[in-house]
Amino acid sequence: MKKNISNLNIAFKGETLKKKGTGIYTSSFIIGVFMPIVYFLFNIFSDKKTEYGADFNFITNFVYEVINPLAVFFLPLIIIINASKIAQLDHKNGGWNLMETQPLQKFSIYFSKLIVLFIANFIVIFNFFISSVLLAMLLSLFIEIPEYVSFQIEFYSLINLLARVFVASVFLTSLQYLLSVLIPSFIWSLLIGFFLLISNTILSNLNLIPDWSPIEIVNKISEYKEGSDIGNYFLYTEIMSVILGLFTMYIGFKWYKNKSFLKAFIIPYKKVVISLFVILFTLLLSSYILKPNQYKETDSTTLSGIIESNSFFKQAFLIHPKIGDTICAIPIDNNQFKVSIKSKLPLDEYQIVIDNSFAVNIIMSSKDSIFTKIKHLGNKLETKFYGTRLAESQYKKGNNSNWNIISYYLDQNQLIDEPKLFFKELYNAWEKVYNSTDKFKTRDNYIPKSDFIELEKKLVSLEYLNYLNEYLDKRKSMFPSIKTEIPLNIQEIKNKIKLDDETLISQDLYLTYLIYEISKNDTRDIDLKIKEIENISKLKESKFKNRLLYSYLKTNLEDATSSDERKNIITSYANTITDVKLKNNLENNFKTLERLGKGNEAREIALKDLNGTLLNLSKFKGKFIAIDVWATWCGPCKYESPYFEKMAIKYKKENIVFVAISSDKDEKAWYLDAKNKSKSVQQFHLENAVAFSKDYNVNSIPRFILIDDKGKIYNASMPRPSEASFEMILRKALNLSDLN
Amino acid sequence: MEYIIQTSNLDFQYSKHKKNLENLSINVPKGSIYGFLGPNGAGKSTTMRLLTGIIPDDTNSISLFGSSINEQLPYVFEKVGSLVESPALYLHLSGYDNLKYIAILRKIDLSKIDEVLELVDLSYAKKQKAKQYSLGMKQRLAIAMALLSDPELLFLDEPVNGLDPNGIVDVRKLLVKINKERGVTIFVSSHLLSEIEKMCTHVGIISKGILKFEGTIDELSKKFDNCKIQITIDNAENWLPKLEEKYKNVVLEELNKISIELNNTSEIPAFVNSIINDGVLLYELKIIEGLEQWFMNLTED
Repeated sequence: MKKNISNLNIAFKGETLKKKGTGIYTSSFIIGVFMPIVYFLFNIFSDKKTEYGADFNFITNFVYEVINPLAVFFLPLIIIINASKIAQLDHKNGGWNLMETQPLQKFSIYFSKLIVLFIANFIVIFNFFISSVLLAMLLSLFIEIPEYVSFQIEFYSLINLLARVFVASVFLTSLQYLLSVLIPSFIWSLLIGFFLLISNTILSNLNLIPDWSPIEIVNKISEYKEGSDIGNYFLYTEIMSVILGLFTMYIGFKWYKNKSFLKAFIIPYKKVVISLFVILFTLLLSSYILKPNQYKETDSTTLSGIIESNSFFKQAFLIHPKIGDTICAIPIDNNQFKVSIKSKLPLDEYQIVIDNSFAVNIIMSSKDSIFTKIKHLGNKLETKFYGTRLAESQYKKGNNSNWNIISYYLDQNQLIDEPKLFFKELYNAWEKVYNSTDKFKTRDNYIPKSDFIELEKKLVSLEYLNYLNEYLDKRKSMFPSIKTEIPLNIQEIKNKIKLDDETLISQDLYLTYLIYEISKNDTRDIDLKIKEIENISKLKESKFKNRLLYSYLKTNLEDATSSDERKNIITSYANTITDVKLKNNLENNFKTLERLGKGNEAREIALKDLNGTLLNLSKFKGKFIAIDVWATWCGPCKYESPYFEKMAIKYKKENIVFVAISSDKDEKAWYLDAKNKSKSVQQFHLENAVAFSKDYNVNSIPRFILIDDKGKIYNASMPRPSEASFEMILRKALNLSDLN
Repeated sequence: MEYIIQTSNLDFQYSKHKKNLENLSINVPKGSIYGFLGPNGAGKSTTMRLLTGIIPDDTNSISLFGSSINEQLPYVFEKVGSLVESPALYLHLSGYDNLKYIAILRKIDLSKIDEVLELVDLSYAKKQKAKQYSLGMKQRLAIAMALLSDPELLFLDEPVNGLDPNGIVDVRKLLVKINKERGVTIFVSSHLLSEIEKMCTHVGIISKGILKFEGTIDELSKKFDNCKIQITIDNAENWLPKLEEKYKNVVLEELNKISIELNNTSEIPAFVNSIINDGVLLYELKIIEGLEQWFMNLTED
């Protein structure tokens, strides 16, 4: 053993001499520092403004920005080039023969060169990190950066990232080295390497790349810079890199040593046994690592969390946002909370409303144990979920924006005359999305629980069934006399959705679908809403029916445009709900909406101005008051503010004041932000957020309220000022003529 | 006698259909300069590769220093120097660095490098990159690399290839010198008999994978009983019939050149006396058929 190591060491020294003048280490160094320098120069010479969050670390952010091109392109590129270079040293002019007639073991010959490659990789990665950190520090001298931005070097996470990049490159390096040794032609080994690199880019856009692709493993670094969600030092793809890297080294070395595939693995026949054993072992180990993990049910349902914030919170509520039902109160102590939930929770998206100042959505069900980290700093709200719904919490995030050809056809009224083609497109689109529902994996190879996948599949089907119904309606109005046959495969999608599925009851998609389905055979020519509600009422008495009615009526109440309409809904149908709790909920909803109806007294709002003076909103009585409710951490609010200001400037001569009321918990954040805003809008801080949100039924912001000169509500839920209707309502209230 | 290299009935084939080496048994005595001769394609390089372990010896029929080569790889090379498929060099490195590479692998003191550069007369070019060397310089550098570790056994594959006549003489002298002074056994291959005939103590001749002859140079010479000579004389045409009466195979080669076959080289003095007495004006006499001719014949078959 000792002899082997010293032999390897001698071979390595020889390689170090031999690579003199080949520039392997030099080009690795250059590749390492290239992107940091480019990014540094770009930042100095460009006017690009960076958004700095409250917990922004300047150095880590610099590294994260420049590691993308490294992991996606430059590192694989230099690995391919270096591997070819080091093998070519000996393909030219009989170097292999020369080495083999020296007192060197073949093991030493093969691996001394591979060690040089690993050192080259290390040079790339190490210099990348060192230069990034140094240039980030240097950059801070050249550009303006807010004081609160951190310049601490996060050694632990940076070293973790460095180690991960290195480990991720093991498989690609040993594979490319194997190719370069076995293929004497310089061109071919390079071409194969570049082909791998390019085809990986193309195929990964089509989602066709397996987890263990050597280049994908390196690419994943740029996607998952922060590393494991669950505290592992390496991601599972990086562990695969080591396993497959070792396997490739074994294959490459045996092949090289015996100079032929047959002699290396097949002849004499006992080698077959060894080869099969090695392959089997690698396969078993790989399938163990690649097998997706799923969390098991826990014995009880617990929800815990920690809030990172400058302010302290006292209490949160876990609510069901659709039904408005409060499931439990959660006491918060020192910004930490832990509660165990006794009542049965069906799988759904719930909300944790914290001190009425902000809400966090959470997917959970009974027998889940979830830990959440909530970062609420400055103008940024960031949540992370751990525990049994880890994969689910990320699933939603990744699945938000799907451009959809079917909804495009419907918008454009295309294919209405070609049902066969439309159904084919619909089925294909559905199938693609449906089949992708269970493909999602987290970076640590966790997949959502099966109840979630099942729900997700139903939602996909519902989405497409609603498109189907919309299409059928359109077709019916265009070709009233032709009956449209629904093909069998579409019927199969319909069969997946039952009309009394309780797990779907809180889903809007389901509500839409159900109501359509139960009233579609009713051909009476009466008001659609009446028709729909009558059909719901015909359903058999059940919890399901109650929930359905409740959801339906609530939606209609909120959509109603006049007090009369609301009153009509309540008096005619509220009694059809037999569940007392749901009925009360509905009536409370009605009362709140009524109270906020036009002409009702606007309740008092306690405020604080920028000088710290306390005052009430009624101070402005005698003038119209336009209110913008916002917070520093709320993105959409910030989008609307300039439009609101524009209105304030335009109408400053009218009998109206424009006020912005911040619901920020963090008064300092509000003060810093509000101080710099236009003086045409008066800035206030909300003193009693709980009372305000109850009085004005504020569940979300931004929210715009208009109060008239007599202190009565004019419109409690104005459109956003970015919409034209905002100004129209405003002008009408102020008795100004319509805009042309 | 102690043999440094021995093969017993060595067979080898690259493909199934054609045997490259058949039943090859060679014996290289310690301290000899063994010339391994054969035309191109006879199997010299294949033998060389087998003897140096570049091609694995699957039949276990090769022994070096008295034991199987397979048991001794790769450390047997600590006492073996070789130049196989010349010249294996790193062209991007200087001559000195090429030698330094070997010195590192063989754990040899770096001071040896200058010594061996002097020996092959390359000191003046040691800092030059090998890619700038002439073919002869490359060859000499490769020989220097093989000699660097003071090996007990030296394999040289076509070492004088590409050298000019002076270079060939120098290499020959060098090899004889290290053989005499250090007792190095040298196994040297060539396709030209004349190149190595003069320095070898032993010869093995291979053709189409089969060993045709093995023995000392003297044994080889003795194989030729008759002796063909060529004389240059005046009036060759006139003398021709008279000579034909007395001697065998008399042929008029050129205007004044006649070849004659004698039974033995020892007959030459008597032959000269006899024709001078007859009045022939003799300008030149030389032996024209020896080993070389035989070798040529062998390879033409």
